[in-house]
Amino acid sequence: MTDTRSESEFPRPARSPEDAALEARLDAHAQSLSTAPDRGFESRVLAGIENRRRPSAVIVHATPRWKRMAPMAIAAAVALVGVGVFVMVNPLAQPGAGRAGSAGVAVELASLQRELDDWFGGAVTPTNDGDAMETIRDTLETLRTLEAALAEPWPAAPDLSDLMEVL
Amino acid sequence: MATAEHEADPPPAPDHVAAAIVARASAGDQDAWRLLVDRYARRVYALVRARVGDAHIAEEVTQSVFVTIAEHLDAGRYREEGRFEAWLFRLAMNRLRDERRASKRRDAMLRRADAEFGSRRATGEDRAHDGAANAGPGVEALRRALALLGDADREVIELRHHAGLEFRAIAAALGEPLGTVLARHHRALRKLRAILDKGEHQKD
Repeated sequence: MTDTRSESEFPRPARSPEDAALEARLDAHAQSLSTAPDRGFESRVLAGIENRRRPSAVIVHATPRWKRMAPMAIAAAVALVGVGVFVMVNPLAQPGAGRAGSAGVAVELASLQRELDDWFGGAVTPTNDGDAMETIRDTLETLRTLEAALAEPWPAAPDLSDLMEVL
Repeated sequence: MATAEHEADPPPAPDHVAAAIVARASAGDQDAWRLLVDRYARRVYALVRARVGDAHIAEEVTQSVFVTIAEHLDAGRYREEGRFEAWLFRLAMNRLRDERRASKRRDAMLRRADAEFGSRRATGEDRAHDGAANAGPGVEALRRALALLGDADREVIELRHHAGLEFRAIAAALGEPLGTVLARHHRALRKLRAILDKGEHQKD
């Protein structure tokens, strides 16, 4: 990590040797954290900048709707929509992000919000970012299909490959 | 101790190098973006990672900070005043607060889900401990001690040591006089040392 601090900013409150030692320890801790990411870290950040896209995932947790589905079905849904069970989310939630660009988008956003609330218990705040909305639509479509498939009687407990085939 | 003369200290000197890079990045120069990322991304990551523990979340938050910067530059919402660094880390602190709020909601939901499903899944707190599992005992002690500090104390320490900011830049980022920031940092260090000396971080 580049240390940009300048001694010209002093005088500072008097520091004891113990304070100085603790500061050195903190700097070492910071150094270990800043060197922790792998060599692809900068490239991933740059790719995010280039695409103006934040990492996204969707939280999945127990709502009544989920509880009607077998754990295996949840696993299948998760495998298909590319999110993790009980894995969070992110950045679909941007504070103050209600920047719908048109009435149509706003209506769809409200509709998606209601369905997301139903599935995910209000844990996800949708955005009107185009890519994120596409992900949400795809995710919900997969979940609806899966739910409909599970409403049909199964000859035996479905395994993951059966469910994948349905979808 | 900090003196009153600090209250009138000027803001950080303009960083003309950063300003020039930001101007090029605003114009879509990818090489300039690479320079900004090389210069700041790991410092943002260290600041976030110190608080959230989980490496993946720290990287997501870091990426989100840079996307936010790009969006602000796209929209012309950033006025270069030679304080890019302070602005960047203010954004990072805001995103960190968002993430911590989201993490608390998430953990509460996971606990409810655990109770319903009878399973045990990692919460944010667990993940922070997982992250520290690979660290040495000295680092783990420091991490535990930092966690016992109040938010304000921890904030100034992390901006100074993990983000690597000058005190003047911290003052600009927090909107506080330099003297106040110097005094806050001094007090926070003392508190941290007291925690370590008394072994409070070793208690459950």
